[in-house]
Amino acid sequence: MKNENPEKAPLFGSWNAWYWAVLIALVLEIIAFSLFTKHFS
Amino acid sequence: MRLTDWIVLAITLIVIILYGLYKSRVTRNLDGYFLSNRSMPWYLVMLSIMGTQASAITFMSAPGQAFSDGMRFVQYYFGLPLAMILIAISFVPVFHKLRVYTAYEYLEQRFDLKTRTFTSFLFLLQRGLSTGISIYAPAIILSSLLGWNIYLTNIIMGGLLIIYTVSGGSRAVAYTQQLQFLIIFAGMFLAGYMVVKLLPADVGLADALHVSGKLGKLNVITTGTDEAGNFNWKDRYNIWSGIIGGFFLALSYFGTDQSQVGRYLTARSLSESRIGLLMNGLVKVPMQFLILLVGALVFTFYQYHTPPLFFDKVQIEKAARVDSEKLLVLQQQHDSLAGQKQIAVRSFTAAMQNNDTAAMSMNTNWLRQLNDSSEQVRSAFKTMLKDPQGNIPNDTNYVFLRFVIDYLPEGLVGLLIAVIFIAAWGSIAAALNSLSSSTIIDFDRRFGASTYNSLSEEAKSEKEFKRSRMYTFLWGIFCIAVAQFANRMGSLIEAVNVLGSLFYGVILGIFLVAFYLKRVGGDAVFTAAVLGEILVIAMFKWSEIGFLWLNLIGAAGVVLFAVPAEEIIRLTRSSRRS
Repeated sequence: MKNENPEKAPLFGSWNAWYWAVLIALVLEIIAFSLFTKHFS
Repeated sequence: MRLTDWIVLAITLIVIILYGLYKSRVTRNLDGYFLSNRSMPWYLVMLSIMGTQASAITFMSAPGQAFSDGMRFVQYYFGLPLAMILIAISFVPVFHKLRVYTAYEYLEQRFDLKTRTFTSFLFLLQRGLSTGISIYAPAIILSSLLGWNIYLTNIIMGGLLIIYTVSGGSRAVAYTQQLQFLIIFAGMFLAGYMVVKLLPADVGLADALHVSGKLGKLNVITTGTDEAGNFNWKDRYNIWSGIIGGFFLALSYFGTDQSQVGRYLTARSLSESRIGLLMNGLVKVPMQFLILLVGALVFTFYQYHTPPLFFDKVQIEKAARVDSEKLLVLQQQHDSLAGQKQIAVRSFTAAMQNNDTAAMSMNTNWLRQLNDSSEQVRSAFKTMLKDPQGNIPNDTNYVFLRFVIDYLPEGLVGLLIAVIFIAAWGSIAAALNSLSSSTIIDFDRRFGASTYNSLSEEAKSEKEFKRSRMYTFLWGIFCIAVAQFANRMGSLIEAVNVLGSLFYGVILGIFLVAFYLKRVGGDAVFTAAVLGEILVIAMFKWSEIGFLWLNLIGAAGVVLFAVPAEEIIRLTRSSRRS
């Protein structure tokens, strides 16, 4: 994930960190939802 | 509705309109009207993006969807966070750098006027019609449930928001969406709380989830494969169609639809636009999960209570006119099954609380059989109302509001009806603002430049501002007219849905070529767009593929056709020269 803009990213310091945060959150949600589905099925 | 409900509804709607008007008072030019003077912080951008996407149907239909098909609909949103990342990387920096008002302005700079005009025209056609439907769809449900006049409901649903949208533009839209979101979430949270509270005293949230899960309603993740392990391409919602198809749908909607592009262009900087989009990517999936969870809990509630045979009362009355004796038989079968379900679910709950796995398993099977039998009775009812084209009625959109009206306390019913209105207003207001911006920027200003040439800068700005307000008003009237017309033309809803899925992929393909295939010019992308469109229409007509995949096919088709088209055009030009 290439960062083409020099504008500074708040909180995480870099835009790449933001993109990874969104991606990791999605993966964690899918894992949590899989466990949720399995637990209550 | 009782008096308290009317008071709560009226106060909520009046507060939204007054707040919108209050926030409108500083808007006096085109930049302020369409882009809020590019001054919005990221949280307002995020709320505006979410408020634009979430229409009234989102809050009416999603719980009903979980009630009838389970929670797997949430997978439809899995591609959204990925799309937010790509838009933040590629789309937003270009739109900010060029300081455009509409996404389609960029296409003229990158390709040519015909590509810009064609794409903008497709947007106006599709968004104008679909906004009319976003007025009609909740209005017909409310009018059916509450006995309101459909024409008047359409006017209130689509008309009152025009007051602050015409006057305040994108600033009024964003600020009212902020307030609307607070009210919507308060309403939905209270509804979820009440569902659990209305369950029998010995049944808690965990018990309710177990009942719902055992009956297949908590199927959040599904793979789309059958028992033999073969992937079913016709299956609409599974993890693969959600991630891949949903990604292309979200990319085209958020990256190329002016109703969304216009929201994040209001941000005060590139960073604020990006964070607004990325936060939307973080929040959207859990939000949809919670809305669907309310529907799954309503399903559990109706295991302990007798549900209506059909949630749309108008259809029950219609069936009584068709064959009252058959309706009576079906109603008796339905009530008998509901009584047996209440015994079975109480036995299941007791077994679960006593940790008796054998009894749990037995009662689960019994409950499943009873629910299957109930569905067969409902199917027999629906068949009674089958029209000559073979269409049967669907009550998915009525489930949640029927529950609200029948079981929630006085005042809360009014608040949840207000939630439906203001959710509709949020998306309709943003759509009117974007329709007006595309009309004035891509058509009026572009093709009518001569009418502005003789004017001073100040007079030009004033004239453009006045015309923008006029276009917002006229688009509002157009959308209400579509809603009134849709009342008589039921198939129009289907036509607009088809229109959206047919064109979104191709529009996205044009933008992908613009961003990533620098070698490709205007004539090649135009040819590729036409070929891509033919491919999408052919796939739609002659295959049974799920509609989410059409977005991928359209976008991929344009990208794949554009490269050889460019080479052929270059070869033809060079052979002509030589």
